[in-house]
Amino acid sequence: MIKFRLYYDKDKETLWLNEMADQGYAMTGFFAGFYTFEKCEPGEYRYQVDFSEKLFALGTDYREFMKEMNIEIVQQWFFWIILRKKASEGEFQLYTDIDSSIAHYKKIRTLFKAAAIFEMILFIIECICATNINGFWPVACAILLAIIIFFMIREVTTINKIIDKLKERKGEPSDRCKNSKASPLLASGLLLNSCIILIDDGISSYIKYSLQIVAIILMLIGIYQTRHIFYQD
Amino acid sequence: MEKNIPLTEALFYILLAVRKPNHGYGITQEVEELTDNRVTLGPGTLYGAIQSLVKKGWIQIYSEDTESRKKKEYLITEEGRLIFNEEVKRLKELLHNAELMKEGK
Repeated sequence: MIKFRLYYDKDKETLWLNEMADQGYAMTGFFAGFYTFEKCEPGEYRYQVDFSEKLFALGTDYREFMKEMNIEIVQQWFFWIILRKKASEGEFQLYTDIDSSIAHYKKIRTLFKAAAIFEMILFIIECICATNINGFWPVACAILLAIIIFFMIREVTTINKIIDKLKERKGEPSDRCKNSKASPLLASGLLLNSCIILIDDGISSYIKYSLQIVAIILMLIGIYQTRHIFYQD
Repeated sequence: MEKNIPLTEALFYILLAVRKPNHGYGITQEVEELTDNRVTLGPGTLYGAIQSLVKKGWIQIYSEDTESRKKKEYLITEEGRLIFNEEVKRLKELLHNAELMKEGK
């Protein structure tokens, strides 16, 4: 059985994989959003998602260690590692204390931040291209990138909240007092910019350029207001 | 050394479990036995801790035999022992001072 899902939240993904296993479907492979499942005894496996430091590469250390713990590495995809263990061998939790959980979520946050910045650079290049080249695809790409950037920043804020909660449990001061929300101005700036590219032909260049300036100002203020999430410790 | 202690519970028990050569699974088992399952070490937590302890030089790889599928074993170093003793000293002080509560002074 093959199912298509797009998860960027690894906790939700873990939940889903374990629900599937409870229903008798064990996940055996992943490729670009397509999950392959095989039949298994209901509840035979427990799944967990880990993150590696390297792209598509796992150290032999990690492989050997997991093998020794009777944990199977089902799939590695970019930084994602999907692991499973037979439920009969007991509970399966990867991170069992607050310190290592915080370190784990910080690692994930760094990846999302890096990805968001990378996508923003792509978005700027895309916008420049889209204003010079007419056609559907540059616009579609720009809109798609805008959506991806928005979700990545939202994920960073979600992870910030998780880390804050963990820090509070540890008795450390959290960063909660800081504004840790993605600014709506950023989203509206991204949206306006995409709209301008979309209605390219219909309006005079004078209006177009003034709107473009407004969009850029909105995005800059948005990024400025959202800056906290990028350098929270 | 000051900023190395207090140790987290996980690090404390990992150092204790490698006072003699021990492998990953053995560490988990021993810690669970010693604490009557109160402290469990998840594989992610244990892997991260071992990596960082090796990097810090508190523990070292004792044996590694990939041919005979023997598991990788770890052993505490002199520096690791030093840190551990420092932590024990701190814990003793804690317990000693806790006596005040009992005596009601």
